[in-house]
Amino acid sequence: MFDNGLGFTMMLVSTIFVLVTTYYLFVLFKEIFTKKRTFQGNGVKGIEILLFSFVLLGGIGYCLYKAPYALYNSTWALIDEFGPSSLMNAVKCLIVVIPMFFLYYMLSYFFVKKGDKPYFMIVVLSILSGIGNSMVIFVINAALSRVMNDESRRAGVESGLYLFYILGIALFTVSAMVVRKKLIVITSEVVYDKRIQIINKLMQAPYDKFEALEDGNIHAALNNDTENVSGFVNAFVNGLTGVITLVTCFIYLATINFLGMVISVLVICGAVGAFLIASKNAEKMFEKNRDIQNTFFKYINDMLKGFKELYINKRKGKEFTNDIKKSCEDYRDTRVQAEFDFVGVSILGEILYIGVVGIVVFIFPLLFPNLQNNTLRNYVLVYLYMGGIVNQEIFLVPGVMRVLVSWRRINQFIKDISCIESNEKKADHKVQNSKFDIKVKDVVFQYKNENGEKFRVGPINCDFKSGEIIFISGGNGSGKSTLAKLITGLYTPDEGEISINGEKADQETLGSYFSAIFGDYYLFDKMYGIDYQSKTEEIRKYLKVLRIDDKVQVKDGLFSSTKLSTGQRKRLALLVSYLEERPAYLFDEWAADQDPEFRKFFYKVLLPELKARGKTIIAITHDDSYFDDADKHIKMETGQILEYKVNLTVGA
Amino acid sequence: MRKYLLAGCLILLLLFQAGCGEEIPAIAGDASFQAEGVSIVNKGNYYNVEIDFTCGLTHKQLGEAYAKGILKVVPNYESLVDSYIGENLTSYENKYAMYRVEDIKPQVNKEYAEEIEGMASVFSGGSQNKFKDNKISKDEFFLFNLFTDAVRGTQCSYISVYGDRSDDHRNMVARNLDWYGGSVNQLPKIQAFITYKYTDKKVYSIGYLGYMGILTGFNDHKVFAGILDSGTNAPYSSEGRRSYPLDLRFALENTKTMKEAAEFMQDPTKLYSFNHNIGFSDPDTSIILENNFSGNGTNGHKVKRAIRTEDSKLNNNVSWGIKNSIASVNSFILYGNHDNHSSNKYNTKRWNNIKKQLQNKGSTVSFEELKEVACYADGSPGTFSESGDVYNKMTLQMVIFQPDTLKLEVFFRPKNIRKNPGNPVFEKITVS
Repeated sequence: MFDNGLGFTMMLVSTIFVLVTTYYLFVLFKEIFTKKRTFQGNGVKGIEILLFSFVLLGGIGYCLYKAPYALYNSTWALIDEFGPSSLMNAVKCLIVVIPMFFLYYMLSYFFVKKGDKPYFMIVVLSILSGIGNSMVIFVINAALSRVMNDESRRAGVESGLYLFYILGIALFTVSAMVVRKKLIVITSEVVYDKRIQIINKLMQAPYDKFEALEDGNIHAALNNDTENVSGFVNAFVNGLTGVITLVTCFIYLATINFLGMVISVLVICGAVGAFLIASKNAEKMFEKNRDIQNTFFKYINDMLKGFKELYINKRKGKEFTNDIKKSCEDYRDTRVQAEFDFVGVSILGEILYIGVVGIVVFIFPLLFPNLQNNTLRNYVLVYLYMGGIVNQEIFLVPGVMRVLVSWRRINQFIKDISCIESNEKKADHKVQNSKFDIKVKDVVFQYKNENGEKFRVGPINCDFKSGEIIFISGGNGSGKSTLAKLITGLYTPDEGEISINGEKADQETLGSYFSAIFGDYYLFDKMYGIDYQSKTEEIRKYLKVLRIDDKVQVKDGLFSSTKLSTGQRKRLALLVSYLEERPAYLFDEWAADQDPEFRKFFYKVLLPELKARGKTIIAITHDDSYFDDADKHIKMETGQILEYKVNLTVGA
Repeated sequence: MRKYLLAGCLILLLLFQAGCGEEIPAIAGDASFQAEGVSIVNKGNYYNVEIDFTCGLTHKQLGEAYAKGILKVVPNYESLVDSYIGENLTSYENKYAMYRVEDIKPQVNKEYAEEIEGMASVFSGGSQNKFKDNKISKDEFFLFNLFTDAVRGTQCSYISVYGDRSDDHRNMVARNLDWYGGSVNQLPKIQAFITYKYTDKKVYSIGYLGYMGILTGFNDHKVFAGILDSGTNAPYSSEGRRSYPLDLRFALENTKTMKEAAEFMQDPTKLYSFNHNIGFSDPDTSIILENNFSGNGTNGHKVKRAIRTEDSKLNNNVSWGIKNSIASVNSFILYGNHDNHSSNKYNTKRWNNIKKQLQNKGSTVSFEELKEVACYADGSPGTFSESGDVYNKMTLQMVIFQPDTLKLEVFFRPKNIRKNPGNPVFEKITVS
């Protein structure tokens, strides 16, 4: 049945292809019948696509039928006897393979599935695109061989070779276009999925672990790396198409002269290797340049933020200028060096193929004395054609590397944050608004600060009841905020326990009791988690109470502005906290940024009002003039409760 | 939806199948034809033709008589030949093939040209060269006769054993003609054993009705010859070129020894359009004339037209090493000649198979064993270009001949089947 290995290989590949296509067709039919895919006719566009597909399919069919005539000036009957049998086998395979794939393509086009990722189709179409691309040069070569002969000047047209030229272009462009569109959708989906996955993971992470994450890593994973991954489309389409084109070109060259092809591949590999080594040096220099650039940007940041200090202190300004100048110089020098290296690499890339062509022209005739003019010309033409593709492939390598690095980083990041993920989140906690008692018993927590120094809080013992105002005071680093974070469930105690109404409470339960405004609070411009539609009147009332009604309006849960003074922003945060309607409130030095009048209003009016509503208020404060207004006062020092005072005169 | 898709697939399949061959109905002709100077007898798979140049008719008159006889025994001869040309040439190639004929025709032996013109005058195409019109014009008939010179060459094998390797010490030759037979077996329908009878000599051709040159033939001096195309991809030129099958006929008609015939064909003043080999055999031995008149050889020098014997030094990477035997495929292998062999699997596979099969036969080879070598097909005959089978899908004729005894057995591809049979049947032809 097979006269050579090529015929067998083709039949084997086709059989595998048919089996794989059959599998995908089966899956597709199953999805249609189980309604996972729905019919989408796409109106006129759908009809156009259908017609165009049939025209293309008809074109392919006609070209197959005319292949012996156009390619060999022959007939199928002669090919059957003379060979190459591979052509017969190829056509037999294509007669089965093309309609099957066409059916699969059309069905998946008209029966759409949300989030479909047709990787098989993309790979097949990319290969088709590469074949179409290389087909163009083969046809040009064949046509040139004929039209350069005076006898057959019109043979390019009369033999029908031009049809194969058109078909090659059509296959290349149509396949590449379809692949690009599909990959754009898929890549965007992947980027979306990865971002959402990261966000979900982050949102489920315990606070103390989240706090330990580098901001830069989160930004890089959510922004830079995912954006890099979206660059995969171009890299994949151009890369795979180019590779297929090169492979088919090499097969074509092997059919002309096998040894010539082997030598060519070796020469090209050597040249590409030299190119990659050279480009690696340039890349390294660019990396160095980027590091210096980061330093330079840091200096710029320092200059913008510290301009006052630099302006006042001339000596300081001069020294800073020297430093920034040095950074600028380093940036300039490394950039010049990197660009110089890259110029060398670029030129090497450009002359690479000219060099290879030179070897073909000058060395091949010596190596192969029987080499025919046609063969030599074909080699040169194919090489010139391949030159651009090889360059393109080489320049794609850094891009692909970046995509791979980013992909790995994203996955590693997801893996990392998965490791620190808290237990599965409970749904909505039912918070008891009735009386409660939070008991902190022998709680110990330790951590390392930014300088790597160990800090320990505890053992702490205290309790907080509903309808109480508790003030926590203490010097810097006394553990006030840590205690606040332990009470609100942001930190998990290393030892001891926190219970609510006698039952040990986990972090989420604790969190669900509190509305907190920490010192480093963040004010969202939207009222998340608040049923703002039913609280329009309340919002208006509190804006007025907080005396910011002339600065901010709330519409559809959005603040008209958050560009307010620090004190005003804190008041707005207080509004949000109020509206959250939690049983307990934690204010971390909230009043520090308020004017005396409003500070008084806070301690004397707002807090008592909350207390009157049965809320527990824990306020970290240094305002000792109001300490008497608290039911309890906890004074902390070096992580311990120094003084635990119950004020029996308040609220009695 | 599925119905439409199914219908679409069926239409597509029909499209692929359509027009794969122009069917020419088999029309039975007379069993024989006898006229002054011409005798044609239908022998089943071939026609036995005798053209008697001693009858007093001119070559042109004999040509006319021969053509009339052909039309009697094969009434659709014109459509067979015309469609055969049509299958071998594209319409644009047909135009310049005719220009090539114009170039070569002046060099054709005058008497042969007259024979061809005489025959063409009987056919219905006249002077109008209409492509694929089922009629033969004068130029088209010249084209048919100059097929190997103007269109494409033959693809053949030539094997000979002699001396101690031959079981009766007489030279034996096997010669396979691998040629496209046509989609409806046009050539097998007109295959013939032709005797050209002169007063003092006879020349025999194993060829085709109306084909006046020698593809395979011998003379009554027991000189046997067969042509083998040997392309070098050198630029084609027909200007001032001669026809080598017609010259070979002339050589067989006008020489008495193998050496003389080879020298005639080797004559540097005679240039041909296609490079080729010619296998020559006489009762004692065989030689191969490597007739390469273009291009450079492996040592960078201008190649020569030279004779290869079994002792000749061969190009690097080619070896034979079977004493008292010689062979040829469609390549030059003589040392210093252009190497169109080693990188061409068409040739290397067949060459190696011939060698292997001959070696397998032991130190002596009988007539039947030589036939087996010629019939080597590694199962069933595969395609010519790839299988390396000596007997392949393209083999139209296999001629086994012993010059000394004129023992001749020929396999002709059966007229009614395009696919060569697994067990080819040889016809014993009595040479008179």
